[in-house]
Amino acid sequence: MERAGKKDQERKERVIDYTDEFHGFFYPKNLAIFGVSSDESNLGRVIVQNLLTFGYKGEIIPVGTKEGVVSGQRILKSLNEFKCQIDLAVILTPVKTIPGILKECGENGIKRVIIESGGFSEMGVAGVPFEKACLDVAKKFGIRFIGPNGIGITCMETGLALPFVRMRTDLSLGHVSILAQSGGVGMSYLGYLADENLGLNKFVSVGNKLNVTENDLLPYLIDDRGTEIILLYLEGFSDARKFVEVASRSNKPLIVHKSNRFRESARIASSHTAALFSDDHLVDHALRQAGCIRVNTRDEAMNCAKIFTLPLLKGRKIAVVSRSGGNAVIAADACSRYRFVLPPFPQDFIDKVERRFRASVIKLQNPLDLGDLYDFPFYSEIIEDLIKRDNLDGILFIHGYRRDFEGIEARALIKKIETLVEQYQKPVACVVITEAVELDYLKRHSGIPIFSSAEKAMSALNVSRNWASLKRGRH
Amino acid sequence: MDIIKKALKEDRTTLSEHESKELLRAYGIPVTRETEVFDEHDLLDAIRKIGFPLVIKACSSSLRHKTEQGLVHVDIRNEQEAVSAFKETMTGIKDDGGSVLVQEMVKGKRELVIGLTRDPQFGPCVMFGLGGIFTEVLHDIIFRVAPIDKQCALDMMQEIKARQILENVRGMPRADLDQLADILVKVGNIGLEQKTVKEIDINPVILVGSNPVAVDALVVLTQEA
Repeated sequence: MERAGKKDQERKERVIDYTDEFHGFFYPKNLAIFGVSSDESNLGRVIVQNLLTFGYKGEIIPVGTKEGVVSGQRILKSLNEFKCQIDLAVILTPVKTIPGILKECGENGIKRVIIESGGFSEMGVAGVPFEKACLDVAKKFGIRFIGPNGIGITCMETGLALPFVRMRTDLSLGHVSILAQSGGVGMSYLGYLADENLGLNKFVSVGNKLNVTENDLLPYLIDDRGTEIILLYLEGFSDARKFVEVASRSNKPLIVHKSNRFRESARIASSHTAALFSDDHLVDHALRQAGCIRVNTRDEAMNCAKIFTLPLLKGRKIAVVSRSGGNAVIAADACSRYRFVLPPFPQDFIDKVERRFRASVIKLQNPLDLGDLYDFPFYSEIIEDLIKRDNLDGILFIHGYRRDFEGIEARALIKKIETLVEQYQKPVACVVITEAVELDYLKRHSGIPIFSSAEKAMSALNVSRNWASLKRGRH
Repeated sequence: MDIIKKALKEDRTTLSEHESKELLRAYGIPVTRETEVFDEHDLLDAIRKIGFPLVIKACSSSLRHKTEQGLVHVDIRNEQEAVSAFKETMTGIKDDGGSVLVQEMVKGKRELVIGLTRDPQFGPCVMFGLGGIFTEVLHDIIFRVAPIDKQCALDMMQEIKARQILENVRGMPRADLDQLADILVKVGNIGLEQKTVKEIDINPVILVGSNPVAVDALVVLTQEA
């Protein structure tokens, strides 16, 4: 499974499309960081540290008002000291200095800039003139800039890690890309990915979206080879109409967490990222129209992202296999709720399973209650037998065990299911009921997602099914 | 559109019911047969044209919620009733000016709403839902960003909670979904083509058998396009 690429896996050389104006933001050969000092509390320093931690291979050029050294890199007082072409500049300096620095970038031929500093229109009218000044300079020199008031870009393929806060080092390279209006929520989402062992491909924090908006970056991510799942966190649309148009073209699932839903939250959002309010009812329907998967909580977002790391569900016929009868009933409820069909099992299958039971106290049907069957390798045989069948589109497997008691066998079983999913290209949603610490272990060591309840797994499979039928209509 | 130009020239922000329906009719949307009457002398002509039973109601660009103001008389079955309803209505609208509409009496139990809103961010959006008083009470309404195609319009209809009402239910025939979809598409087109139309509220659209008919309509205008 390519779900969460391994950290030690060599980063693949890609055929790079230099024609896209946003490509250079994620794949710069070198970069300058304005606002770096060797002071302990300096935030620019953290960017340099993140870059080194994530293994960025290009040249890092720290620029500051005082000379010094940070993580072994000499701080320059001006770009004039550096003679080569610079691909990208990151600015984290007081707001009043930014138009001047932007001009310096322009004069040095830098076309891509990320402004991470705050203090613009999100702080009220006082910040507006600085925004205007930045836009004017950008226009004059043909600069595209991301931000302000964001935490920049992270690209796991290149080790480009530009947030000014220390990043979690347990992030892995994978296929989820995140575009977030809020840096804080963006960082939280990176953490959730790490917790679920979902690999990140690209992360971009767009902040106030003054010059580059979600509508500029979304087409890039839609076409990006490394990205397979896109997660957006937005507090407002830059151009809602255009967004619907762009999103409608996506052949990758777009999971949209759009907050700032009620008048009460509008005031806060406006002082946070200067976001405009839109009627939530309308947003809901417009997102549906565009084929986006709207989520309102982090849990929903992760649940959706997880299911898309499995093969898509191509129909509504499901087999439920459960280690406990009660959980099978709950699962059957969840299946009905999402209009899934549980076809009866064929006789040859039932006969095969029946022979392995110790006592005939359980009626064998779909959902299948594994009852007194304690043979884990046989569980995987059952799953393989079912996954092969043409009249089944996917499987919900509910497992329960104690870490100290059956941990080793259970982990082997999940590994086996992982290979079956890969081999037969059908989704098996695994719900595991065990200790939190064991669940965490499983998530970190499995190439397939682990769900915490049948309800969540079925809701995710429903999302997968709906997306699969929508996607088919788009081609 | 001349109706819109005229209204804007008169500094109005709404079209009267009759003007609103003229606009809809111009786009091929089925509306009630009706005649606008300004003078009692023309009433008999209008009655002959529409036929009993009929509806007499006030028509003015400044009127909303006509029913609540007692300015709608339904199921009028003879000349005598018509004359008295006409007089009553004229008295009611005396202060606001306007005219009287003599309208065919449309019979159908199922009321829908179709509309257009111009959102500051999403632009023109088409609306479909449960009509009549249920629009406000249940808010069972679906929006789509215009323009929409026929398939999109058909999807909208399947998304209301009360979608069952469009089916063959309690002896009533299945709604002509094709016709309804056409109306939705056309309303979206009005939003795209007529930049000064800010809102359209067609409520109710009554299903006469299977066929939708716009029974009341209000078009709100904006000066800046």
